Amino acid sequence: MHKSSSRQGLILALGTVAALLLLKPSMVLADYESEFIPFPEVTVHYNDQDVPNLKQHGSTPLVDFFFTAKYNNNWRLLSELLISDDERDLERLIIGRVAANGKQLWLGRNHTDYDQWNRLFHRETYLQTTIHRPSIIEFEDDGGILPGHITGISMEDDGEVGGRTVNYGFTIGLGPTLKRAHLIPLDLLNINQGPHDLAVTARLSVQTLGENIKDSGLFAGHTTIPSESPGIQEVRQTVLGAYTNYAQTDNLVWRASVFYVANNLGLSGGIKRNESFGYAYLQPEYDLNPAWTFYGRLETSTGTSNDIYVQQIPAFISERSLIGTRYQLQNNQVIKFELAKVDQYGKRFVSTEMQWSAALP
Amino acid sequence: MKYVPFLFLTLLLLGETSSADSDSTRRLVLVTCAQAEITSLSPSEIHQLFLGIPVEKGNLTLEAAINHSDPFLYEIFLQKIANMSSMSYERHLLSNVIQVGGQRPRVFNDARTLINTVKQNPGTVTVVWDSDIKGRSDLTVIGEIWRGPVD
Repeated sequence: MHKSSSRQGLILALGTVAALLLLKPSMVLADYESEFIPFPEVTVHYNDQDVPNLKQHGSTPLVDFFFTAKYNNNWRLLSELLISDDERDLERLIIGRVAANGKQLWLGRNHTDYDQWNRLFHRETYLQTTIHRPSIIEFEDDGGILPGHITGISMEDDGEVGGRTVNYGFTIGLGPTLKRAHLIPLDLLNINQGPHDLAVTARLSVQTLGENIKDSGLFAGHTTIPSESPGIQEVRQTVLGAYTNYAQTDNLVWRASVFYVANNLGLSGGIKRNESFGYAYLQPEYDLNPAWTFYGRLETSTGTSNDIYVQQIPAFISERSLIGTRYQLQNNQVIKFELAKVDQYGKRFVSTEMQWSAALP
Repeated sequence: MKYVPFLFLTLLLLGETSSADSDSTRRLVLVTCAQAEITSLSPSEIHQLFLGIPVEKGNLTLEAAINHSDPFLYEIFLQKIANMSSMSYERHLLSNVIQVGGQRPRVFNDARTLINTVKQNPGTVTVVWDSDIKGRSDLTVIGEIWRGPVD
């Protein structure tokens, strides 16, 4: 995670929290409704090796303050402010219109259309079955190598085809910049950081309602990533992929995705270089009963080890296999245990993690 | 003439049986404000509504209200409408509000407050025992969810 040293950013962050708290009583106004949900979490980890750039053991507390307001049934505001010991980030801030027929139009900083995690869980690990996202869809400050945020316009719509819901989404705006070994999206708390260029993502999916939203879909995107990494001036990145949530039975769900990423690198001296890599994961989840879920995940990639672009982001996990369990303590608290074999920072190690998370109150 | 007392007794017994039938059966019904002029909802609309997905009927955007006043009623609601466990249902509603914002359906622990809210807010739909709304013309029953014996 990168450190935002901006005192101005912190003041704005705390001011936003205070404003959100003050807005809460105005729920009683006619045609206005709001929800304020803090999502706290604490993750404790132990690695069997001392990996450079990672603490061998430690704990990470974090709170994601989620706030949403609805005005006149259709107008919505959504925001997520994430605060941890080394990060203060306005993850999402969008204002838009949601019609009863499913049409959505948003303006602001939103998550991209890649894969299913952004749409289903956003930053709320409490809602996820696992502790971490698959590494390919990890957020930028946690070693993600694809844009996780776009600041601009996004839209979504759906329609009925043969008893199923066909849903599509599209986002266009400013993407991230590559520097300090991370992708850095446009920071709404420190807006003057770095150059940002055009990013476009799109998704088409088929959904059915049920205990889990069962859906399968295709996604694609193209981003021009300005770079301040030594030797790289620009990356033109194209992403193609497919995902599925396949509920085999009421208790067993398979989540899976495949990605193909092509990077056109603009190197120093006007040299161009084309690279590409693939990535896939498979995650079965088994609900023993409403409280206990057992899961596993296998993540693998091909072509990443010698990829110049991927080498710029060493926190990216190129391979991981894990098993774990999620225990719902009450209706608003969860404990997860995970044992993972990880390939990160050029090292292979075993990591044990426990996480408590909640949706308050 | 000699059969009249027998006929009278038979009718009396039949009446008793029929009254005992209605007293020993109760229905869980879907209701809304009569002013809303909604007569029915499809199973898919009901499912979507209680999953927190906006449903439009006429000029109204419908809103679900959750009846938490009776654990047995809520259990039937979870089985017949939400099709999921209580924990999964709450997780789903949370996930939905994270995605599209707005507000999760309001939860009522008191049936009388719930019924008054439905009455005052055309477009609000909830699930109640039919006995709780007996004789009320300001509410419309738009569907039956379950029928069973009184405990």
